[in-house]
Amino acid sequence: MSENIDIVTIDLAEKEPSVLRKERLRRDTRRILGITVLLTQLPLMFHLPLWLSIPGMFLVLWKTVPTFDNGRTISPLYMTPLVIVAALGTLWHYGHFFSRDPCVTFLFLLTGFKFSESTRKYDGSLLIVLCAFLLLTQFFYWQSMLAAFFTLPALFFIGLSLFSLQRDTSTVNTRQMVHLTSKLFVQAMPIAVLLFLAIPRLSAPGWGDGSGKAVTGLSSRMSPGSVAELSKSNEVAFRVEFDSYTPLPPERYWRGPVLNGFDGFDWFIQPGITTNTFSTTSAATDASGQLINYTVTMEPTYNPWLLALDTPASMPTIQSADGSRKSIGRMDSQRQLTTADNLRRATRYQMSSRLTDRFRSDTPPGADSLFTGSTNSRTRALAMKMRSETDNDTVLANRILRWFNEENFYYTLNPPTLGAHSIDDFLFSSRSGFCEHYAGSFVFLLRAAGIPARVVTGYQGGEQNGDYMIVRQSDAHAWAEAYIEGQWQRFDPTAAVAPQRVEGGINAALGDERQSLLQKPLEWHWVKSAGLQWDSLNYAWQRMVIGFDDKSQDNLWKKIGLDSPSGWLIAVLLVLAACVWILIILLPTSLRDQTRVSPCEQQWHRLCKKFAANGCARQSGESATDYVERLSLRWPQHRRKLLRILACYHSGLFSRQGQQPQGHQDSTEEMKREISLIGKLS
Amino acid sequence: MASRKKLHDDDGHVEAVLAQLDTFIVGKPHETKLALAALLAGGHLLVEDLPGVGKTTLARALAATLGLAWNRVQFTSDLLPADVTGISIFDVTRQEFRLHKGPIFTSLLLADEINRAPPKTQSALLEAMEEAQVTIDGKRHTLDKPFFVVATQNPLEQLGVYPLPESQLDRFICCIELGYPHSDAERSLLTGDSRQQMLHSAGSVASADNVLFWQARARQIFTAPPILDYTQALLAATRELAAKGGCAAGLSPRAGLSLLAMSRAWAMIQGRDMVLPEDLQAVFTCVAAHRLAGSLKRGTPIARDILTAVDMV
Repeated sequence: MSENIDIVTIDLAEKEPSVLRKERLRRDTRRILGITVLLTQLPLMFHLPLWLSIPGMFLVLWKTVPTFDNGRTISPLYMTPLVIVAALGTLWHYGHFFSRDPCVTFLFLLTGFKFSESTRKYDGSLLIVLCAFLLLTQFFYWQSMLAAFFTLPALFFIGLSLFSLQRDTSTVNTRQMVHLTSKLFVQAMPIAVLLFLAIPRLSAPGWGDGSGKAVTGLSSRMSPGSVAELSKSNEVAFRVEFDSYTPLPPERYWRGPVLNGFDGFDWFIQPGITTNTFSTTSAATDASGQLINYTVTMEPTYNPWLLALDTPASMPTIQSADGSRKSIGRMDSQRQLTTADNLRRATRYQMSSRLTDRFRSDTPPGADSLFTGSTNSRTRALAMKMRSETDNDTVLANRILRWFNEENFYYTLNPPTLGAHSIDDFLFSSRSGFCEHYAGSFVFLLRAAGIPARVVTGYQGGEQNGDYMIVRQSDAHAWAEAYIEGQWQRFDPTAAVAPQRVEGGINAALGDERQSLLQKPLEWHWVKSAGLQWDSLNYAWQRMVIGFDDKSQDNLWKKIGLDSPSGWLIAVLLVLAACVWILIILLPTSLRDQTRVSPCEQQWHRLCKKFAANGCARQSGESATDYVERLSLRWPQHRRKLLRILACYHSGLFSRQGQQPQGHQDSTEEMKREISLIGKLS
Repeated sequence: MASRKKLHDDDGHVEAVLAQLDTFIVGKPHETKLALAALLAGGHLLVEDLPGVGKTTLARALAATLGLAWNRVQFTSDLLPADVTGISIFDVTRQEFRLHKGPIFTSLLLADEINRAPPKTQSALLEAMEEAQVTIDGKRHTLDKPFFVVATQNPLEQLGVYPLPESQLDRFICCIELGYPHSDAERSLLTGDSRQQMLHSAGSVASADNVLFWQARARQIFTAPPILDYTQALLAATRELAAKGGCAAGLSPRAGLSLLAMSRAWAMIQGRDMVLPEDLQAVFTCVAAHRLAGSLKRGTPIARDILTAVDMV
C-alpha cells in the first residue's frame, strides 16, 4: 500500500502551484503532518536508542501541539548545529555510521527536523515520502502482527496528509476528509492484497540482519541463574505441530545446545566437537522408541541451534519450491542440530525423533566429558564416597538422584548467590536452586565419579493450543546426559527434586513463588485463554503472511494454472485485476443510489423497529410527528429524546441543509446517539 | 440564519392574523388555517357547507383581517357573466364606451352560493381565477394583486343547484367545510356580539403588501426530494383508485401542484422553512376530496383512505 502512496506523492510534488501564498502549508495540514510523523516514529521508538528517539519526537510534538506551536519554524541557525549533534550522537552511540541501525536512527531524527522547518507544500510532499519510507524501516526490526497494526494509523494519516495537502479551499471539512480517506483505504485494500500475493519476492531478504540484537533464548553458556532468568519470560520460543502422536508432558524434552565444557563455574559449548558430523543412517540403529514426525516453527533466535524432540532421528528439512525436501542443518556427534546461518527469521522445518531417553554413540567420549577442574573439593569427596559403594554406573547415577531426592533440596527461581566453589555451596549449604543448578551439580558429581557426562539445555514441556503446541521461554530447562554402557542416557535431577516440574510444567513446580514472579493475571482463566487465542493468531500470521515466500507464491500460481509466470504476465494480470476492481466500485454506484435508503431514514427505521418490538408499531400512513406523540404518551421518560430524534429526522430528510451530505450526516449522527440513549425499553 | 429569523418574525405576524380570524370563526382553527393557507398559496378557496354555519363570515373575516378590498356577488340562477366581470356602457355625454367594472375588480371576491348560478356565469370566473385577468369586449383587464376568490356552495343534495364542472372544481386549490360548531363555540356565538358588528368594527392586522410578501415567502419554502416522492405516490394512488372505479377521477398534475403549494403555505404558517410529510397530510384531504368525487361528502373518506394506504417512507 505504501508503494501506491509513494507514486501519488511524486505526482503531487510536480504539480506544485507557483503562487507563493498557495505554496504555503495550511496550519491544519501542518498539524495532520505532525501527527503523521509522530505515528510513523512511534513504532520505531521501541527499537532505537531512547536518548536519540525521544528528542527526535519531542521536536515534532512541540510543533504539533497548538499550545506550543507559534507557527514559526526553527531558524537554520539552530537547525544546523542540531543536525550535527544528531549525526555525532548517532555515530557515538553505534561507533559507525554505514549500517542499518545508525542509518534508520539518523533518518528518524532528520524526519523530525524536517517537519519542524516545513512551511511549504513542497516540504509536506517530501515529508510524506519520508514518512512512508520510515514506516517501512520498522519491519527491519519486527514483523509481527502487532507491527502491522502499528503501521495502520500512520498509513491512514499519510493518506489524510495527502488529502489535506491537496485541498486549497476550506469547503472540505475534516470529517468529510476523514470519511473520504477511509473510503479510499477500504477501496485500496483488495488491490493491496493482490499486490501482496502477486509481487515477486526475494527468497531471502538481505536486510533481516539482527546484529547485536538481544533475544531471550538459550545461549552457548550456562551459568547459575541464566535459565532461571529465561523462565521469567513468557515469550514464545517455538511452536510445534505433530503429525500424529502428541507426546505426553513428561516426554516433552526439547533438546537444544549440548554443553560439554566446564570452567569450574559455567557450562559452555565445547568448540571442537561440533565439527564432527553425524550421519542419519547410523540413527537407524537406535531402533528403540516410537518414531514421531512433527514440524517446528522457530522464532528468530540469532543463534544457530535448532531444537528437536528427545533423540533426533532425521535432519531438519524444509520443503523447497519443486516439492523436494532440503536439509537446512546438520547434526553433530552429540546429536545437536545446527544451521549454517543464525536463525534471523522465523524458520519452519520438519523433523522426526525417537521418543527415547538414550541413544548409542559409536565414538566414546573424550576426556573433556570427565573434566571437573580443581575446585569444589567437598563435592568431589562425596562423589568418591558414592563411587566406592558401587561399581555399576547406572546404580551410581540413580544413587545420586536418590540423594537429591532424599536430602532437603528446594526448587526455586530465586536462589541465593553462590561463591567461588559454586557446586559445593549449592550442594551443602544453600540447597535451593533451579534446574541449571541441579543439572550442573549432577553432571559434576558423575564426572567426579568417573562417568562421562554433560549438560543439555533446551525446553521441557509445551502447551497445546488447538492443533499445535506452544513452547515458551519459560519452559527452558537443563538436564544431564551420562555415557553409560556405550549409550548416552538422559537423567533429569530436577525431576528428582521437583517431579511436578516435569509432569505439570514450571507453574506447578513453583506454586506461589511463580505468581509473584510473573504477571498474576496469567493465572486467570480468561486472560490465559485470550493469550492462547492471540498466540494462535500470531502463529497464523507467521505462517500465512510472514511465511508467504517465493515458494508459497509458486504454489499459488500453480493453483490458478499458471506455471511460474513471467514478470510481464504478472504485471498485465495485476493491471487487469485493478481495472476490474475499479469497475466494480464505479459501476453499481448509480444503480445503488436508486434503491438506497438514506442514513437518516435507516435510523428512523431503526427507531420504528425498536418500538415496534415493544408493541408500538407505526401505523401505515401515520406521520412521524403523530407516531412520536403516541410513543411519548406511552414512554413519557423518553419524550425529550424522541422529540429531538423527530427534529433531526425532519431536518436530515426534508430541510435544505439535510440535502447536503454534511447536514444529513450530522442529523444521522445525532439520531444514532439519541436512539442509543433510549436504551432498552421496558 | 438571517432569513430564518425574519421568517420567524413573520410567523408571529401570521399568528396574529390567525388569532383575529379565530375570534370571528369560533372553534374552527384548522379550517381558518386552511383558508389562510389557500390564500397564501395563491389559490382560490371553495367552502362547501350548509347555509348559516359561517361561510360568508369566514370570507369577510379574511378580507377584514388582511386589510383587503373585497366584493361580494350573490350568485343566483339568473346571474349573467357581465354582472360579475363588468360591462362597457356607451357614455352619451362623452360619445364613447366606458368600462363599468364589475365586482370582480377587487382583491377578495366572495362568490356566494356559486352553484346556484348557471354554468355560463360560473365559467366567467374561470379566466379570472386562472390568469388573474378578465376580457371585456375583447380588451384584457388585469386584476388587482392579490386576487383571491372565496366561493361558497351548498351541498349538492339541495334543490336548485348546478354542480360545478370538474374543470372548475380543479381551479379551486382546496375545498373546506366548516360544519356545525361544537357546543362551547356555539354558546359563545349565541351569547357574544353579532359577527356583523364585530366585522365592521374590526381593524386590519395586515395589508395587501403583507399578503404578497407571504405568498412569495411561501413559494420559497423548501420541498425536499422525499416530499416530491410522497406527493407522486399519493397522486399515483388516486389514479390507481380511479382506474379501479373507486372514485370519479384521479388527481391531475395541477392538483399535485396545488397540493405542494398548499403544503408550502401550511408549512409557512407552522413557522417552518421546509415541507414535512405532516404538512402534506394536513392539506391532502381538502385539496383532494372535491377533485376526487366532486363533493366533500363523498371525497373526504376516499382521501383519508388514500392517506392511510400510502405510507411515507
